[in-house]
Amino acid sequence: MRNHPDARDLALHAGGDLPWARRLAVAWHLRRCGACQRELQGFRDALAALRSGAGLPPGVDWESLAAEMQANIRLGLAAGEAIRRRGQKEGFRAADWRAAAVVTAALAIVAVAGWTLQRRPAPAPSPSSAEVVLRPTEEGLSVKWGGTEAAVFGPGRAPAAAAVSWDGGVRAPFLDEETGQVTIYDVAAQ
Amino acid sequence: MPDSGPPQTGMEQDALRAERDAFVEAHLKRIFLLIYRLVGNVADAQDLTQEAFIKALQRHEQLRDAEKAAHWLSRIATNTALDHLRKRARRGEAGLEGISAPAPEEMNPEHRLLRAERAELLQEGLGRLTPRERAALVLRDLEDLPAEEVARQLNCGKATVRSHIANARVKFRKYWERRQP
Repeated sequence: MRNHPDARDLALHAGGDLPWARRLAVAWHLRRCGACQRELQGFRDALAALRSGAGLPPGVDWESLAAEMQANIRLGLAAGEAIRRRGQKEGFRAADWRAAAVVTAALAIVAVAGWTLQRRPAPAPSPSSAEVVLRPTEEGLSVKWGGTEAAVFGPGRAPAAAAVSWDGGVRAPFLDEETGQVTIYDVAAQ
Repeated sequence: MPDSGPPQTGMEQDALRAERDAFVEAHLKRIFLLIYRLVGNVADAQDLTQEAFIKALQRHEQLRDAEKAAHWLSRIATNTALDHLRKRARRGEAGLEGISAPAPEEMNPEHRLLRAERAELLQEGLGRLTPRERAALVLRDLEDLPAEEVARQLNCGKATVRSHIANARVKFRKYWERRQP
């Protein structure tokens, strides 16, 4: 048998993606060629294998992951709306210098935090993850270990959303409704 | 979705929020899985899914027709994921990453193992492809979009998209056959 279709043609034929003229030619060839029929079946089997592995990643708790994403999407939209309203109120010129001031302040905070972290002595050994309980509260997040419970974040208002994330951590975003600035506290259990 | 500008009254705002929530609910799993197939790890897929929905919902006037909205959202999601992969490639980071999520306790161990093996096979196989081949394969063979729509989503011609699909299927098959006992 001569003029076998190449592997790319058979790959496209397996998914019904050849243009009609080429499809007819390949189909005609396949009626008489066992080798190409086996090649085509190979592509169909690979496609079936591809589809059979296409569910959710193993170990993902979809309900909590979806709830977390929905909360973050609402938060992102609210923040965008707050920024838009603020821009309308103040006009672009005022917003420009204020944005520059916010960026400068943020950079300064990052620099100071980096310097402080570099100078910080090594932390005391932490309790094992089996002993630590993280949970969102109305004020922020709390960490409980042994007989001690500490509110680790308390910025003075309730978080826009607080959720235990799919990987066992706790996440609480706070929205400043005047500026649209979002601060996300994310604590991972280790 | 309403087609006017930003809502003015409280009732309009509540209605818009309810429609946005319903839109997110209807498409969240599909878009998360699409992005996850392209970037290969749950944490990035989560961030990019949120980003894609926020981009789409900020221009809610585009979402009037349900079918067009679904395709438009897929397009935003695909481009968001491909942008992310481009940035990652520029930073010299690895391609698809392994699945780091913990295994749920309640799943039957045999089923869990089989599912994990299939998922690993799929992600490793996808990792052998270029980002555009991967996107073409995922959109055509997992999302079941027609080749014309895949071409629109990837912003290229139909012949180019056929070439990506053919390359991707040939590479995936070679990988899959090597993995067979």
